[in-house]
Amino acid sequence: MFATSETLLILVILPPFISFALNGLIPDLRKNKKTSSGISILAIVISALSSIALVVINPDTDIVFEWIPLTSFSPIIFGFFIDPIVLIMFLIVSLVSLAVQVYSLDYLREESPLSFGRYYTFQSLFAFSMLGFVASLSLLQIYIFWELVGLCSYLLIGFWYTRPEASRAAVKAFWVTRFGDVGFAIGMVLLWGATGTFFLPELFIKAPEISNPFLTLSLFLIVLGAMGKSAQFPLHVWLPDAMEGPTPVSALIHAATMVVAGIYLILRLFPLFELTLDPLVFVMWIGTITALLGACLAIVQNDIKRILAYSTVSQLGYMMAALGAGGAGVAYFHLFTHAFFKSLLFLAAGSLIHSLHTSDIWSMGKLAKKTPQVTALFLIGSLALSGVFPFSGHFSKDEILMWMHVRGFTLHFIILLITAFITSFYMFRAFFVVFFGKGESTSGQEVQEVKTPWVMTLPMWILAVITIFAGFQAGNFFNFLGLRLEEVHTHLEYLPLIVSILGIALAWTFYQGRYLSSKNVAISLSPINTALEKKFWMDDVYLWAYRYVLDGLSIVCGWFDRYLVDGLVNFTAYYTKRASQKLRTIQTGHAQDYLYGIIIAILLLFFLSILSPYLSPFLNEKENSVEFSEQIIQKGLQDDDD
Amino acid sequence: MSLYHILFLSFLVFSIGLFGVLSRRHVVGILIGIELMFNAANLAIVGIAWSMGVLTGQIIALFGIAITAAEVAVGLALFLLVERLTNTVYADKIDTMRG
Repeated sequence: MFATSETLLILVILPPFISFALNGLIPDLRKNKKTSSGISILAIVISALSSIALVVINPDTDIVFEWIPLTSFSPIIFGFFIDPIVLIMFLIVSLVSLAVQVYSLDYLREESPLSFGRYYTFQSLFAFSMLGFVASLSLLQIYIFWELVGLCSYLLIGFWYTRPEASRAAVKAFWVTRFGDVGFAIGMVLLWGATGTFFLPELFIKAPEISNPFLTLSLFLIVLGAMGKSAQFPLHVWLPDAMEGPTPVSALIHAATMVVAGIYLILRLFPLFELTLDPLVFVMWIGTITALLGACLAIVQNDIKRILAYSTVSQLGYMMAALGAGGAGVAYFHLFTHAFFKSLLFLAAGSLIHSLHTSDIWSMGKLAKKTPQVTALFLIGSLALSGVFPFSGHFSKDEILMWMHVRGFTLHFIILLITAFITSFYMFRAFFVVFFGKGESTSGQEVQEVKTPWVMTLPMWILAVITIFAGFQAGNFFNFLGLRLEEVHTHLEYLPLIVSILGIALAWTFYQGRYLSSKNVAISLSPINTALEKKFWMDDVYLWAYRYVLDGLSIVCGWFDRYLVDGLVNFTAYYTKRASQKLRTIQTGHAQDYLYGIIIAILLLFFLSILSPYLSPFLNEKENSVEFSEQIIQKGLQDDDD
Repeated sequence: MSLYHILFLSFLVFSIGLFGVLSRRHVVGILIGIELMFNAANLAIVGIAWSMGVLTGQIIALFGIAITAAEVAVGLALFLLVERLTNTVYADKIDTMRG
């Protein structure tokens, strides 16, 4: 059994890498749509099947070998391991990857074979990096895979790199997450400096010996990395822009998997966080603020993908808040359900964008009759996100809210409850406008046919089925993790559900029943509306900082480099050249002139050799050469005598 | 007649030869200067050997004279070629080694 589970572990992680290597290294495979996508999908199918097999067996195994042997520290370990947390992440990553890769077959149908192959190459690399990330055993290895998923995110956001918005968004995502990653790197090295190991089990044993302020500092820095990756306030600005990438990419990377890497990192290092509470309180506040902020910003967005992006920011805030309140289990459950219903929402939105060639919700409308299938799918996703019974989002969000309530974080509980209300409002605002709206901005043009081939609908239905039934598996989920699901019975038990339904009702009043005009409300609340539309000027602040602080610094550095460093080099070179030009004139080409030089030199040496006995007191030679050689001769004679 | 006289003569001949090499413009003049320096060296060798009462110096000098003859032949051949290539036999007109 032991050997089997190790093989299965390899079968989960390695196939996407092999697919990446094949597609990446052999251009003939990449240039053919069938082979590139076929290899990639085959690899992820193997991964998904192996993940499911592993979940069924639920073994406890690892593959570990020494990577860098060190003498004065513990050796640096490279290896993969499995525990229930890893297995659930395996399941999420491989299943959503599979769904997205199948879906992309049709979504990217119009791409040229070359960029189609490039897409699947990156998809395979991403699947490998994410699977490797979740199963990593050492902090250094986590960091390597962390950067790899960041790289894939960059490459896939900028997939349509000829569009300036896309390449700019890719660079922005890379920069902002990088800002957090610097914190992660420093925190990681600080921990290594204190304990001398990157190996997680060893780290957890040695961690209590670290002095408290030091540990707190390193954990704060690691949280910074998690905030960058998981788009937490104030580093959330990259995620909405990341929607410039293809929609399946948004579904996979920017909703289900990569953005939860930050949550997962804190979850993995939870034994460290339990030793010192300040970082956790910080995480809870950041999460709560992000949840509210993301939800508020989602209200005023007109782009369906941006609405979903801000809702992702908001839901990630929920997870962070739960983590900060010590609810690692409930946060992980929300991560699990969110991965499925959010990727479902993205894929459903993608199928609309794919057919209508617009992502503006006001240009859509009246789609309910044209495509009942997508309407149903989007409705399932929206209800799950809003937390309506019996969809999975209801259970996980309930768990988080109840956790906050029972643990006595009343302020956070209230903020998150308001967020839940706003969540269902903006989600159903989008739903009503897109599927039942009048299509106001289409300028007389009739809404086109929505084409939904089975390659697109099948992955969505699978995700939808998981979305519907995953919620009831909460008990099994917590058992699997070795936790106990807390049955909470308070008078507030039904409050989240009521709040969600109120939000839906409000959205209906505004956008479907039209008893209230959203425009009038927007005008009467114009300061708030402006602030929301300007995204609280966050982007402007960053731009200002970039333009004046960073550019100013760059100008100073540039001046220093150009005039002082380069100046020194150029000065030396210039005078060397001048001296050479002078010197070359003595090279006349006449053999007799050279002979003069030789003879003068010989005469100089001759005179020096004559004068040297008289000069030696001035030359400050400690050893008189004649005496020294005499000593050597005498020593040699003595040796001969022996 | 002592060794010092001989060495002084050798020094004089060597210096005259060196002066010839450095100052003559015609390549044959330079070659004659080189010959003078060679003979000065031979003279010094023979003189020293004579003062020590051995014959080795004379033998070396005989070898030296033979080599000098060969060297003169090579030198003259070189000058012929130089004349053919540069149309001159004056050393100050030949500056192809100029940097």
